[in-house]
Amino acid sequence: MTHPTEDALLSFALEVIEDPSAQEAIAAHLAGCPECAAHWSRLQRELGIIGGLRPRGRRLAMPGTQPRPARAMVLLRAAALLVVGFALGLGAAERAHRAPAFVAPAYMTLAPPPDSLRPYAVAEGTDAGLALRSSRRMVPSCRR
Amino acid sequence: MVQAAGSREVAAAWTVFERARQGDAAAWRELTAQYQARLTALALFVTRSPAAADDVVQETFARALRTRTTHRSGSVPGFLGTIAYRLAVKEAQRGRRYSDIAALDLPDERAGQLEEMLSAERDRQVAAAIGRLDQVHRHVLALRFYGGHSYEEIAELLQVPLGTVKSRIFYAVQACRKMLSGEGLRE
Repeated sequence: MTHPTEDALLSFALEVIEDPSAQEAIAAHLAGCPECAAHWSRLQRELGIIGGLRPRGRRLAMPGTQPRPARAMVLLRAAALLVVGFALGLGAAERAHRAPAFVAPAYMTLAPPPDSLRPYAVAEGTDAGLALRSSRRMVPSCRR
Repeated sequence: MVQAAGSREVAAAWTVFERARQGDAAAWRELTAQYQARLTALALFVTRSPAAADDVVQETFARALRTRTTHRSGSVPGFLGTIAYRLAVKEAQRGRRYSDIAALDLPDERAGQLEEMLSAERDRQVAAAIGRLDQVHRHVLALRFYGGHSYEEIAELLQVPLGTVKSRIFYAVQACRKMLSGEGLRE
């Protein structure tokens, strides 16, 4: 058998030959040909050099090995937290002491009506007088 | 026989991984001693930045150990390599947006950084040769030699036909050999 070409030997070394019979033929030749076997050994060493770089990386910190919780679990936890928080807030609101609401009355002092309106003015101290003090809406109607 | 030994090794690697996942510091040291350098190389050839490569590797281990699922069907280096590759590609895309402007003034800066982490002269020249490959060939080479992926896994990861992956790895290695031959590095 003729010697295999360098490309054929490299293909054999890289295990990229598709045809099984071609592979077997090269393997058989290498077993019986010291010259090609030496060439084959050189190729192997070269491949070892190309694939043998070992760059110095930085010292790695051992990562935490706790598995990351699944997304669904995260959402579920957030929802549960929301519900619990809402329930607690509701309970606290129910138990809270509620004092009766106190609204301070607001009084306003109206200027005395002009003389033209005096006949329509109500007397101080009556119900109508109180209503007049607390509402300006009565004034336009008085103008009529 | 060889296959049985291989499957035992794969199972042993997963056992170490599982122990590290449960917080065993000795297993963690074993895991990083075994895979950190090659993952760093993989990330380095994709991102072309030592700082980014370090971040990618740290994040790779963090994500791998946090994972809930068991990946007994593949190998530990393949599992870690896939995470590292995806993170590195994202990092490279993010980095490209910022580095393009800088690259106008300092075209060789990133090539210098690529070799920064390698001590031996020969290693630096090999890294430079791989760094000079175009992206598609560089990525396939990095995944095959440093990611611990099979050709089938690379084809799936890159979404390209198996034949394309094989021709790319052949071309990538051939190109590296030529470059290194020119520098007198081939034995």
